[in-house]
Amino acid sequence: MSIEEIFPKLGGSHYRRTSEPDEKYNCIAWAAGRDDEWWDIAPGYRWPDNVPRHGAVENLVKLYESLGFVCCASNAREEGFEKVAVYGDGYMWTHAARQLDNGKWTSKLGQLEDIEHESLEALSGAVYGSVVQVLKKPTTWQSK
Amino acid sequence: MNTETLTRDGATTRWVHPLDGATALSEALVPDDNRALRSPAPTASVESKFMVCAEAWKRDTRHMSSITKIASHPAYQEIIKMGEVAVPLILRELAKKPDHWFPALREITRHDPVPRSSQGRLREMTESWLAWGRKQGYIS
Repeated sequence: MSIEEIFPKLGGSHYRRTSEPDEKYNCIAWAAGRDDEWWDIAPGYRWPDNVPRHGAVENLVKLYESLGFVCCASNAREEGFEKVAVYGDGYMWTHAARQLDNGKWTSKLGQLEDIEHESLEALSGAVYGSVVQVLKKPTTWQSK
Repeated sequence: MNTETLTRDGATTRWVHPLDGATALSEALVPDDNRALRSPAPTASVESKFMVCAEAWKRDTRHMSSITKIASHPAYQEIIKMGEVAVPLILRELAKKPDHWFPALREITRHDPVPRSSQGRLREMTESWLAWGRKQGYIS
């Protein structure tokens, strides 16, 4: 299946592939700026000790809060801040995206490629659900 | 980007991962017991069933980021139900390419040979499991 078949709203939206498929990292780590680890609640995977190993949305929010992010209301670009968006399908988190300096978003699609997408809505749907929380923190490094 | 930080712990300087509260290594859930010596070799039909399930699982979960969702796929659960006979087949797949076979191995064998420092690093996790599999006699 193509990624447009998996994420139907990508078709017709502005997006581009920015990497080859890579099994080393997932969207949760990528949203935090890592491209060398898979962060997950499952035993044996990277996860902070002070955040419950449970897939509730609130726990992924806590993970990003442990990295200095705070919840905010808007996904619009703010100078001097980087943002992450948490997707969920009801109670459980499914995906996270990181905002780039140009205001667009970067997402790692499971073990597939990274994409740069203009809207968060482009990845919403049956697979990832929808954006349930946006967080921000002062920019400390150049986003990829 | 690497967000690891250098910290000083008494007289020792060490690298601490941003998600870590400690750097202790994980240990096997239960001691090694050379269980492969008691395990039957997979038959052709078992191997065929395994491959059908493995392909379905890979095809359907490539785009997923949550291990909970990846491991809850019916084909993956079917492989776990196969039990110990699936272990050499899983390790053989791991030897070809790192993939998220770790929850299945953990569930079936009740072991976790991955040190804490390797958690989340798929190639290192793979090497830990392959070394364990060789030690246990599941693979050569």
